Amino acid sequence: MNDTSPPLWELTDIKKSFVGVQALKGVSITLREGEIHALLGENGSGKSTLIKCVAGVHQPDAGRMLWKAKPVEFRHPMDARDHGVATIFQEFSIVPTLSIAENVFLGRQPRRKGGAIDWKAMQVETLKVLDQLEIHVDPSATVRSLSVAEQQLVEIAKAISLESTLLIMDEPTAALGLAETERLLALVRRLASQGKAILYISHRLDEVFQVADRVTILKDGNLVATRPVAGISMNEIVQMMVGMEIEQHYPKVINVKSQPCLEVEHLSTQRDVNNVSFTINVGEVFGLGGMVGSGRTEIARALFGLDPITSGSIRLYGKQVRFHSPSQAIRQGVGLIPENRKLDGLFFNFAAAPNITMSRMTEILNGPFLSLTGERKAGAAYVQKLSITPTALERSVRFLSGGNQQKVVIARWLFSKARLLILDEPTQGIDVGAKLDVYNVINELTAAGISILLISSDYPELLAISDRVAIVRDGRILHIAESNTLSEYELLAIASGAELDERMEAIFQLRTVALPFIHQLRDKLGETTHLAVLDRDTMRLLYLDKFTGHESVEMMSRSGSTAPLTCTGLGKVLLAYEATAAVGDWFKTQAIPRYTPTTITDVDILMSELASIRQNGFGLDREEHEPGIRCIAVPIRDSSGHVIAAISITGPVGRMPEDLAGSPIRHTVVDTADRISQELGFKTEK
Amino acid sequence: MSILRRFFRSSISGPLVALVLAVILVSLSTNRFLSGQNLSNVSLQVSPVAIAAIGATLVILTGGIDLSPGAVVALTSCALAIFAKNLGIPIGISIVMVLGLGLLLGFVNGFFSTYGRIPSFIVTLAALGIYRGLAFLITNGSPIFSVSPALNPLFYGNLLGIPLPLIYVLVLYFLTWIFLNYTIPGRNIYAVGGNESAAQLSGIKVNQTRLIAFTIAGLSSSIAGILTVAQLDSGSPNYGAGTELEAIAAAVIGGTSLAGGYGNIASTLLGALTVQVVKNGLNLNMVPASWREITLGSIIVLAVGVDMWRATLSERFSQIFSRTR
Repeated sequence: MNDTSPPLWELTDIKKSFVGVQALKGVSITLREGEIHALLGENGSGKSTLIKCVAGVHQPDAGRMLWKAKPVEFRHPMDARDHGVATIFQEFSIVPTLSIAENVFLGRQPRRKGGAIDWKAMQVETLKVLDQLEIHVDPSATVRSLSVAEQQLVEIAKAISLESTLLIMDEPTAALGLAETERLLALVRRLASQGKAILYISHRLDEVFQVADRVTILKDGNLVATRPVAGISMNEIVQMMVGMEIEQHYPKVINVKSQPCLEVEHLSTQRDVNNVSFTINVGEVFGLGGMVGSGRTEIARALFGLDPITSGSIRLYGKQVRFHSPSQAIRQGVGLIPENRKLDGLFFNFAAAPNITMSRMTEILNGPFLSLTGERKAGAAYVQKLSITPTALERSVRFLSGGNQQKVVIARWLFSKARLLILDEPTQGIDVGAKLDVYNVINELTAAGISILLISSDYPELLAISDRVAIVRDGRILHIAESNTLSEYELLAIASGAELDERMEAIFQLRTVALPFIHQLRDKLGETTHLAVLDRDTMRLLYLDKFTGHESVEMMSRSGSTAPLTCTGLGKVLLAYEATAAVGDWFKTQAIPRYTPTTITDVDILMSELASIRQNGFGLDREEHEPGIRCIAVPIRDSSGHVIAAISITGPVGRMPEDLAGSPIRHTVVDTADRISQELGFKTEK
Repeated sequence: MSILRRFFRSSISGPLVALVLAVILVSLSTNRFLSGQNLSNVSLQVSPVAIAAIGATLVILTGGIDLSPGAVVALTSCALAIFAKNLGIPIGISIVMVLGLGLLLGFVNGFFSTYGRIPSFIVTLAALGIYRGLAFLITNGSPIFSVSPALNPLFYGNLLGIPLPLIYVLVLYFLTWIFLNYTIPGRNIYAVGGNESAAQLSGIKVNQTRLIAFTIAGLSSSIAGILTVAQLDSGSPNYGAGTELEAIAAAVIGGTSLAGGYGNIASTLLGALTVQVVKNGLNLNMVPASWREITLGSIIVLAVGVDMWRATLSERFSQIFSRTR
């Protein structure tokens, strides 16, 4: 990326209003060649309107759009296409009955002389694009036969097959599982390295941090800031987006009772559920983790009477049940909030109240007739209870934000007195504030004795909100665990079917020993603790576990994610105990990335830093990775004395003293690490 | 301004404007339209179509379509004539039997288009042929005249000076209004048309709901058939020709969305009146029958067009309003 080259796109002071609403109040943004530019903001902040202006869908009311320093005006999406703009919108624009190749080349099929479609060229070109995306499917397969995630990838294939200089991606990963997301992000990086500009919209901040070069944040149609990602923390972004500090991302209240609510034994269906057994207690949140297509949704469908059960038994509150239709399940107190609330959850032809009473209209009967005043009262009560915007009572739910819509669907099941509620991706595509609302609602539901079956592809969310998590693969439950004993890394490993090799076994053993100590450490100091190992394949730091402190601080790290070795306390500690010569060689082949002004990028200084770590027995991160974040890390040794892992404690500069080495914090962390090492069989020589 | 705006936002404004427009145009074209005799004729003649339009509206609200009302009118008119005249069954019992027949015909339509999983367009298109074919079959193709002296008073009589057909129409529309707005099956009809899969996941029996709508449609068409026999004292396999188009036109002019879920029954009555006023106007102006059909067809296309273009149109209108402000 060359900062001095003229920007590919320069949008200045763009304004756009719709009937009664000013969606953009003067937003400016520049997009450079080869840049991945993330566009962030809560729902209704103007993101979609802005990209639709660039894509030629909307015409701005005021402002200038410069393309390579030339003013342009788009009357039609084709105008934008002619200027190299390709857009992947949230709504699918593929034709399910056509083949993949036909979809990719829809409206611009390659022709042979005489005008006939060149099927062969189409096939070959499509295969090339699919290879880029690492989708291994037959280009002549009908799109309808693909999974939702694969369909989304076809949508993306269609966009990248266009000769484009700017690729706009609106929530491209919303329907994707983790593996597909990783593939997509890798592709995005590759496309940027080919010189394309990418405007990337996502609710997943971790994705943004993984791929984006710069980030622009919108709020209420105004530009808040455009900043390089390297110089901004997640917490700052969240604050800019919501305008208030979010203390905790995952408020979790444990409301589990000892009484079982749902007992499933050896359940199988014709559709991908294979001998599944589990129990959900009253007030418990039971999470189903797994990839998209692993059978999570199918388990939910079977419980709700949507898919016929071939064998096995279901007991609800001790009573044997078998549902042949959703209405039977609902009568017994089971509710389902589907993955796609717009398509499957809401009635746009009604305002909030009829949407809420839909599953239990008998409740508002007055004799044989519906009491519309009773319905209104009930609706108003739930609108207030779930803090849904009051206009929901007057207008179609079509006009509500995603979060409010989700709460209307939740209200329906509260009103229908569901005792077991199945939530399929309840926070997908809603903004940070609305997610918090959903988590709080889940806590209220469980406090009221309602049990929850939670399906989520957002693993940190799944682990934080569930009491227990079952990992599903190929329609089977492979593992059930208390969610606080399960790391995102393990969840991911098991769900993705990774072989549990020796290294993995060692990691599991390490975690089993270390986790109680790390929990204690977190509780004692109240700050965020990490357990990490060195991934020699990639020479990066791999976070195994992260326990967020009581006073939370936003950091990029997540269980299962990786970070560079040279600028993190943990990384430097792990590097310090590698063979010095090998580390020296590695540095020679490696440009040392700079993240903050204090990042050490000089090889000699770094080598002496590693030496002093070996001498002191701990390493420090002096705001070298994220500004405003300090950290102290200590190695963990196994019985043979080798350093196999490291733990750390991390906090904001306000709470972590500059002289960490001389503070009591150091002693506490070193003490904890020593005890873990001893537990692993390491003998300290006195 | 705000009253105007509220009026334009309400769902009844469009159908009302259409009716007023039709009345103005027709009364400009001929001075015979506004005569008391003619207006009373219009109010009598509208009744069969207005009643058939009740069923059409319910089916369209669920997201389906019923093309069979005309054929049901024909078959039930012939059945009534045969029951009462050829078989000598007392007229009261004959009428009840014909109502039962209407329910059955509607049920068959509903059954095949829900549990049979054949699109309602195809099922009722087939029914259109089959039911009218049956009417020809049972009458050997010739009308049955002078069915019963008890029939004419049912159409031409009046209660407290109000023509009976007008009373039937108002009572049936009132009942339908109660049904749609104040009962669970009525609410289900809107829900199924609004979002079928959400309705299913909310525990609504989608097929059952559609079946109810079709069965009521059969019943309402059979009432239209009985009224036709009462009016003409005869049954004929040719009766009800074009009733399906007029009934659908009434629903659509009344603002019922062909996509389902949106519409209200009172507006359908305005739509039926509009259709009848236009037909009457063309008659008074001695327009040939062929042009009546063409006009009606065009009106349907226009009404559906307005439904489809509604979003765009309302955006344009509000842009104009906000500019003039």
